[in-house]
Amino acid sequence: MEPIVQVRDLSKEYRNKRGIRNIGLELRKGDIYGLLGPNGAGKTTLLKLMTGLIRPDRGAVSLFGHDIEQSFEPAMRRVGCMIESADFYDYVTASQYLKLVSNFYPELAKERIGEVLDYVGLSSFAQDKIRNYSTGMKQKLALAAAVLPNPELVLLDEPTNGLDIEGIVLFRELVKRLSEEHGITFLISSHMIHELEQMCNRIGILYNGTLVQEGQVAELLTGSPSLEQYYIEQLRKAKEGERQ
Amino acid sequence: MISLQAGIRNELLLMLYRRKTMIFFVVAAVLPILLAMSFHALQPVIGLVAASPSFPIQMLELYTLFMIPLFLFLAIADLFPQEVSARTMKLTLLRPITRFRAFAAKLLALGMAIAAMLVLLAIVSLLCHAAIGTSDGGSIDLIGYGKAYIAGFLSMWALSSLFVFFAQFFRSASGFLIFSIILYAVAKVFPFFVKGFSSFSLTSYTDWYLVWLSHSVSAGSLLTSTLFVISGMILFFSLGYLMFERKEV
Repeated sequence: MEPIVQVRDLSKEYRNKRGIRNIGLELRKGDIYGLLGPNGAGKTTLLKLMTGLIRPDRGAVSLFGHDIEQSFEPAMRRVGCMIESADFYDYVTASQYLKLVSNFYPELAKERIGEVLDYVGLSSFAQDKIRNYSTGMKQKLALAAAVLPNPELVLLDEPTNGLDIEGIVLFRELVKRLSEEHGITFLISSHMIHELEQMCNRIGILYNGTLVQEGQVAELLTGSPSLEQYYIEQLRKAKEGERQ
Repeated sequence: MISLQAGIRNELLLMLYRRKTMIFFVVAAVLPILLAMSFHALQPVIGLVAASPSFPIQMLELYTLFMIPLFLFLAIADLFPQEVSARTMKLTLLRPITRFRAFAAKLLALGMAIAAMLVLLAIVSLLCHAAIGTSDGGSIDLIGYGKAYIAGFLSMWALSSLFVFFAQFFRSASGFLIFSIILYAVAKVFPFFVKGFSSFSLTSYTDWYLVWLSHSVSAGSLLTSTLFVISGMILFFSLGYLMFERKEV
């Protein structure tokens, strides 16, 4: 089966020497891939590179077989994203914002906006200006915008930031539902390790710009009682390797 | 093309959702009425000609010199530096639209906003003339007005491409706004000190429509100035895009 996402030898170095180095990654249809790593490890940089927000120094990304540098529009047409913080035009309402998003997808049914607002529990706030939203509500709206175009691949960067417990559960159920019912592929970067353990079938651990460990959750956890312990162990090994 | 259309539609909708755009358009519509009424009221006192046949041209002068440039600076500040500082630029760039089309959509939306403002001004000032103009026998030269307004539109759109280019250097809307107002004022005063500057500055073409109204200007001269305005617009569009394309969001 042809991978949906192919990241080849991807590198990006910022002026402060941080960034990512030689990342290779493949995602297949239906994968729920969790990207773990400490702050500054390069998770957001990787997601930005995968969506063309920043340019790599080296390497390539293809989504659905389309190189994002060469054919950005066909590559992104089947992708939903939520990168970095949930920032919005705060002078519009949630439904106005989702209407703006839907303009890029003329094939979308009109009812879809109401549907996704329902998914994330924002239906009763649809006509409120986004400036009046809490952080958690903005996060839910960003999630609604990401799944609005019926994407086949969803990239989420810290999607549970600012969400209350109910919101986190709702998010986990939504991801599972979309994955099971529609076969949507997810790449989720998060610190919520327990959430990832429950949702993901594959995990990658980024440390200091390098993918230090990657594979099926079931295989990686052989010999480790939990993903948390496995993660801590891998980080310790990476730090030791760095010292040597 | 679908992405470009969506981009333009979204930029226009976002402009409409901003309260200051609506306020600007209301002021743009009301100002000619207030001025026409003032002229009418002052006519017996100081002999001013109320809303004379040249009233739409007088209004065009006022608008291309102050109102539209000010509107452009505000709109460009919202379209570029504000989107960078508020981190909303990614909301568009993460959608299936190339950077070129996203940039072109912003400039085309600006062009449409300028056109809308000029059409509004033309209608209101002609209505003012019809309602409270003098019966001094002056006829309305609609073709001349049409040429002048089209020339006004072109010069304003070219001016917007110049300031869109400058906007790429800013990450703060207020910083850009202050810079553009100062730069515009300096560029307007500079030709008084440096001869020949006005021939090479797009900011000096705000009254370009006068050339189109004059009967003594040769076709060759009109063609040269038109080519200058269009090539200036293309140059700054390209330079602006070059910077926009490299922008890391």
